[in-house]
Amino acid sequence: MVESQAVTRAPAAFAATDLLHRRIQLPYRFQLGLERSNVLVKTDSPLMWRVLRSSAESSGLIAESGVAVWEIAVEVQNEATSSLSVEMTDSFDAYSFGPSRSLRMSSGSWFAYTPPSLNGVGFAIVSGDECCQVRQLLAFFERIKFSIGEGEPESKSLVEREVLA
Amino acid sequence: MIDGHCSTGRMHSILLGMAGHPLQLRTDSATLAEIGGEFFPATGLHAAQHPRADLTLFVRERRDISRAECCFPVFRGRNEYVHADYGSDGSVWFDLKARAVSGILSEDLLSDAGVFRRTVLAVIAGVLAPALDVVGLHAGCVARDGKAVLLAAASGVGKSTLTLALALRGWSLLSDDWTFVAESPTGLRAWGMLTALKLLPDAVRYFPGLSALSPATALNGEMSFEIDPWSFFRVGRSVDASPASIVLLERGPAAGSGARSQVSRSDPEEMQTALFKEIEGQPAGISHRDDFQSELIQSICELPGFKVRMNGDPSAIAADLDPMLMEQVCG
Repeated sequence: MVESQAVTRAPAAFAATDLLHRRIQLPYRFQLGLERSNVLVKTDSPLMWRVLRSSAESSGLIAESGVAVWEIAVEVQNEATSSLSVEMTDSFDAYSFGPSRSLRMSSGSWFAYTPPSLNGVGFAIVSGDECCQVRQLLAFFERIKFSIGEGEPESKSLVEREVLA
Repeated sequence: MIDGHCSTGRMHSILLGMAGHPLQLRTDSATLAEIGGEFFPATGLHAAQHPRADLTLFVRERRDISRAECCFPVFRGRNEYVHADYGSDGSVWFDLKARAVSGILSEDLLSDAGVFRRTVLAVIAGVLAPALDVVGLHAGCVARDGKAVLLAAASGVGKSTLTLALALRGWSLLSDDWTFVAESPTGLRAWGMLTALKLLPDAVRYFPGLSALSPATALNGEMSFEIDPWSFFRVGRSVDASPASIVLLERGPAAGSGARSQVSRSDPEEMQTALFKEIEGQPAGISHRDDFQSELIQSICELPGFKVRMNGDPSAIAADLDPMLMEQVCG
């Protein structure tokens, strides 16, 4: 298993691409059934695997097979280095670049995908104790579901709020 | 959504150039358009050329003005997606496969053009380069008469001080730290960037003019002087040049009593090893670019190569090396 190693600061302007975690292995996998889609979730986080899989099982959401694949690595930041206030995890921005869509939460967590495929990649940045981490992972998943058109948001994105203002 | 819906102002659409490639910038900020146009000059390009990449950058008020943010980005990426996060100052997203860059950035970040160039535009250039068939080399670059010498070294060896010392001897300065190299219709071409030159605090020993300044925290967390060499030292500037030679710099005592530098020939294999050490492999979505990078670096390493072991006053070392480098660009 490869645990994610959080290195939060870049050593140089763009030499820092070696910190991109592109090659983190994602050994934990489970199937997640959404309303209209089945997803194979790959992650490096045993916590995500254990909690979300358990949550999906109890809701009867474990799918037989996934038609989409989400690759999500999880980084746990300690309180000293975290710029995240747990209370802020609800705010998020929705982006559209070219054909792709992405979601960025104020914690730094993000998820990107390119329709019509629901295949997506992302990073969940969490902090606090295990209970807080679980809450943040669940919130992140809710946002992803909303961004791909599955589920309802509890609040709208900051960017959309700006439009309404 | 970022695609226009959050903008209430006029959109500016301008052509930019990066290492000979046209880029299209769309932004709602006239200031950003101006800074972007200076940083990515569209020299030699014309509007009819199809852009190789699309940049869409919006500027807005900082999300949380109560939070004092440093503007150093935090990078994360997976597959072809890269995210540079500036906290309350915004985010920049890259889809390297689609060659699309999008971002929302704060007015605060844009308020200092030097900071914006260093922390946003240089980052965009560095991350996007491989998707444009451009290699970013960890090398300084100086030129004479359109011919360039690449000065490659790891951090801390003394690229910046030697580059500056050569510039003070009449060489045109392209870059002190990162140089972009790409194939052009006339062969290899090297490009610099309009970013501040970074000198460590002890450089004041060799460049006394720096004593009038105070060092500040650089992007990598180091304390350093960050200056505009073209205005501060009044050295010449070149945007691009044709590379004629490559020099690998190493710090260490030169052989011989009192010697400040020791020059030896470097073979292509040694140069490739040195350059590849500083090159990042490409993400899965554009992994075919690895082959391209390898071929380009092989081409670069066919240039005449030298290894310079150096120690001491960069001005004196520059004086030692000057005749040899002149021979490379004039020969």
